[in-house]
Amino acid sequence: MTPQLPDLTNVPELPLILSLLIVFFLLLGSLFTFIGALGLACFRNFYDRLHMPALGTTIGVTAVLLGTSLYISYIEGHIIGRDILIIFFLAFAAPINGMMLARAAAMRDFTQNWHDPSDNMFHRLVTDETDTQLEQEENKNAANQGTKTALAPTHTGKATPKTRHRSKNNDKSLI
Amino acid sequence: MSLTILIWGVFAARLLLACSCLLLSFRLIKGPKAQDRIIGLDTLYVIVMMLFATFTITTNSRIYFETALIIAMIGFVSTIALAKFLMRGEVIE
Repeated sequence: MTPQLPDLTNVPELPLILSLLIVFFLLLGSLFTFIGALGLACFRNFYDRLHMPALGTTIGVTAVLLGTSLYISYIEGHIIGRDILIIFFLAFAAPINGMMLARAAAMRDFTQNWHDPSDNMFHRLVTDETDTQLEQEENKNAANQGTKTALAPTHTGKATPKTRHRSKNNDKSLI
Repeated sequence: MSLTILIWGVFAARLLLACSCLLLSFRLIKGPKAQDRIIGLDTLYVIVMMLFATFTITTNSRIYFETALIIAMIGFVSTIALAKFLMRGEVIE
């Protein structure tokens, strides 16, 4: 079983080393892109997911476009340099995209009073508080406010209790 | 021999890129917030651009490089516009 491809009768037989080089570049780039997509699909937090497309946009794009550019330069007989343009453009565009999305997400999370359920270590680094102190403080706040806990406004109008530790509907309630 | 290696290599690369397209479509549909959907769409643009670049090998045509360049530029501009919309509520202020 060979994959169905268009006719390659006008393709000259490439040298073996060039063919191996092209296949190496293509497989390297697509493998890195697949790892990036896997991480983007499987990570739990947005700020973890934000790292992963950089694999595809730097190493993946560079390797795949170098492979195709090697092939088309061999076929045409002279060097085709358009892919260098795409590589540079994407290498400059990827950090700008990441920065804009991170700022937008941080602003949205700040206004919607969002807490990462696994963020205890960072909070401890910033404020020098331990978990038990935080729990005691939250219990005291809850006792002071009685049944009226601090609520974050959401789009659905449904209120979510403000808990620092693991709450299952913390991520779902904010769209 | 070298043609067989090239055909199978391109086939495997396209298979990996298609699998990553499926994973990103999962993130685009499910993603709990809007920013997850936007980052999935941005990466989907890049991966489709790479798929177009692999079409160059089997069709012997240089036109897919122009297509890839245009797709990359439109993806960048659309991601910037969507991020501005998420941040401010309007794109041009």
